[in-house]
Amino acid sequence: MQIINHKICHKIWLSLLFFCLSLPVSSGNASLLRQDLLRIHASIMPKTVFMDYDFKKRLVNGKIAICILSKQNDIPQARELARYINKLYSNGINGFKITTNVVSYQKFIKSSCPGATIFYILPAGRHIMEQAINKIGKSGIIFTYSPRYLKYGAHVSLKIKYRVKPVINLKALKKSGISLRPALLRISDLYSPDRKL
Amino acid sequence: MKRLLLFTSFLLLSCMAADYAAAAQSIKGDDKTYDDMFTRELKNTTDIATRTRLNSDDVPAFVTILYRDELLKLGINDIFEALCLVPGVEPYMDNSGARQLIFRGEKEKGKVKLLIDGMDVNNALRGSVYYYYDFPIELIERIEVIRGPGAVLYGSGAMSGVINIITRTSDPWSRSSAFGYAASYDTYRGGMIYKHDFHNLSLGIDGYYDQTNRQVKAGPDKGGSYGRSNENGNSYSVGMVAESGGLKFTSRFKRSKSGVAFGRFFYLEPDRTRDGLINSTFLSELMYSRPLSDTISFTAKGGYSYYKETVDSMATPLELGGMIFEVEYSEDKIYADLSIKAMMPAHNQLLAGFRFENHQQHKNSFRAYLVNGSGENLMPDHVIKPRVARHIGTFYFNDQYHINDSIDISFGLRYDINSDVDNTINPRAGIVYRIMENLNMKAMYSHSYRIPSWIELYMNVPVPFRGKPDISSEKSDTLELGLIYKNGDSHIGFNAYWTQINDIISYDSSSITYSQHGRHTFGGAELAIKQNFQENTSLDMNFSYVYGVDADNDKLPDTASWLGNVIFLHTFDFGLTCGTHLRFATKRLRETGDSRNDLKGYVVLDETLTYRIGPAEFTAGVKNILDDDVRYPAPQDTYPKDYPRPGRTYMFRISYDF
Repeated sequence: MQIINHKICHKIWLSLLFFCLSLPVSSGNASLLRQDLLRIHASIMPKTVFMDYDFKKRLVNGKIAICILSKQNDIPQARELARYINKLYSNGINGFKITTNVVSYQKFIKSSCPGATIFYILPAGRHIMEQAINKIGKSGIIFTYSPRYLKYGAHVSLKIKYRVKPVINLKALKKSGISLRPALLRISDLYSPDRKL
Repeated sequence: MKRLLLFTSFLLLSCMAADYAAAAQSIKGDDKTYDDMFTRELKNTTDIATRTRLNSDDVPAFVTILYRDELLKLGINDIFEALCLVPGVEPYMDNSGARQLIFRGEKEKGKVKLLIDGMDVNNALRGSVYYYYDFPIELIERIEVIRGPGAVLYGSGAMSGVINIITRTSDPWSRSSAFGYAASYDTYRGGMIYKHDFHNLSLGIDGYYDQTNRQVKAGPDKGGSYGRSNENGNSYSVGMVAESGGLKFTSRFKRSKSGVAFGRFFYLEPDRTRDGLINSTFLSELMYSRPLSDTISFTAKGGYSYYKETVDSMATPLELGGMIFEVEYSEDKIYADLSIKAMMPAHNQLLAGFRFENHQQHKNSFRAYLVNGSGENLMPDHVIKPRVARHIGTFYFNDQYHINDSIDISFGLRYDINSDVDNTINPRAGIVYRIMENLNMKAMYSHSYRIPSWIELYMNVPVPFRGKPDISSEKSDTLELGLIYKNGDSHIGFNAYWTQINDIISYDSSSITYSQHGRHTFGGAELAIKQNFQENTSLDMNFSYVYGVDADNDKLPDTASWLGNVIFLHTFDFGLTCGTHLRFATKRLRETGDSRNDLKGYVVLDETLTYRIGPAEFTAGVKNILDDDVRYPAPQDTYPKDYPRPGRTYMFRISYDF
């Protein structure tokens, strides 16, 4: 092909060699999380609690306690999410105070996150996420960074399309004994394992 | 003063009207249910997603968003380097050292709109923005680029593209931070961002200072001499954003000084002690916005901007007399804009507004004399015709109609009344069709325009060409069609376009004036692929092809047909991110009559390592590892071997978030 001459092809191959050299050599890795997405989640996630019919029963000392679970390497980004929530809701919501707690998955599996009403789970390996979700059990709503992780048993996530839409895992909610208000169900997409998100 | 009073009265009246309307529609009762609270918040998140372009796949435009985090991890230095990552964008440079961009095959020349925190940077003198391209990435939160026209919302100059820079200072979420940067050619930069929330006031201040001693081996020049380009310089900027309730005040001052890289008359600068080229800009805007009801919101903004250009350089070598150029030019702009955004029944999202702009030239002096000519002035003493002013009145509207979950259509129109050139009507129509859950199709038609610059209309000095007062706006028609496929971690966007720019303003060497004739026609395609592997690795690729011809069907010179970027980012578990960036451009054709071989293409590979410990981040990188010979095209009979760019260079950055 005349347009891309041999010399350029040669350099592209050489560059690809550099690419190969920079390929991952480690198995456990930190995440490239989208800050703008975290900001959107910070805005809507604390209010998800009001969509639970029995949310008042789950509150400890009248506080909405949010537990953010992340891999050890993603703790700084989890703290950023907590900062966004605290900045947005410094005065609480509707008279309910908001508290945030950032915990690594390892620590959570050993000692849990007492009093939490919402659990926000950041990406990790499948096994560790499933383990954490099992441990959360019926304690509260499980919100995930990406709808992809609903398949591990999380309850709610967001889909960013023309409008921002919640995606709900009804089966997992039922298993956890959480009944959501019809308003949320009306405006949400329902998760189905056959549908790619 | 009179202008200022009129403008202030307009703003005050607008705000009072908004307050009155809001009071009339105050919310009845206080029975906010939890359901309402949630759905309102969801609507708010949709607004955030739209504002931050997170849902850009679903709006009728082809948009590229560049995020600070990724740019820093790729060792990107400034806006100019960042924009080279956008599909269809190619860098180039002129003899004065002004770095510019080719968007979709068309040279910038005032056809690209640059906004910083929503404030328009383009000046009336040239319509140019190059003096903002050295703005550092450390101060930026993200860059939004509309590839293609955007005249309905952004007016003149939004023809080939619109660049919107959002600084960290104006981003409500960003932290305070400080940074330092060092790179090859004795390049150093330092700066900081300070953010604080007082009781009801959110305040952000930023500033930086940068200096470089860049000199690249160059030549032979027009006189056959070899030497080094003069790209020494420094720049600094201070910016401020204060926000309280619905009121937001934004202002920024920036000054940049640099040598005239390859000489004003294409001779390597003989006297490097002179100031060279200095550009100063001051931008300020006061914006007031508030919801009038659940479905209607109102925004009033007004602003003042100032642009000053100073030139002090020796344009010819001493053996040719040592001609000194001294220019002092300044202009200002005052504007007011009033718009209403309404969610109409049946999912119509309507935006309508009025805008007034007033451009006024102030300083306007020009001196050219020989070093030994005892100050004798060789040319007229004004850069452009004295006392030039321009008034623009605008009406615009844009309606986005959400027919159903599968189809959105949009229609927009802008009507501009210009005091010194022709009036223009710019329509735009688009459709977004969601073929499947993961597949969107977009089709658009846009008409856009560029008002001639004051240089093109009124230039007084025959260097290089005189202005022509009776030329009209350049106009373009663009058709775009694209497909976007999203599936889990994969994102593929493909679009094709056809653009015709009519009434091209160009040089007429026979009469040494600007003239207007002919057209440029472009056809091209852009492909962008993003693949995330888990959340820690991403591969981002974009490729573009453009075919551009003039009215005689001759291929347009100086632009590459094929461009590409491949970006690979991987974050290891111990906090290290490895960034690889490969960029290539194919050969650039010569102008008809230029006997030189086509300018060969280039492949540039950059490697960057970023290590984060808590709030501190360290970045080290090597740019152009392969030391490829990158050159930007020079006109014929000037630099036969074109304008060389630096080979392999090194950079180091440290930043700390408070």
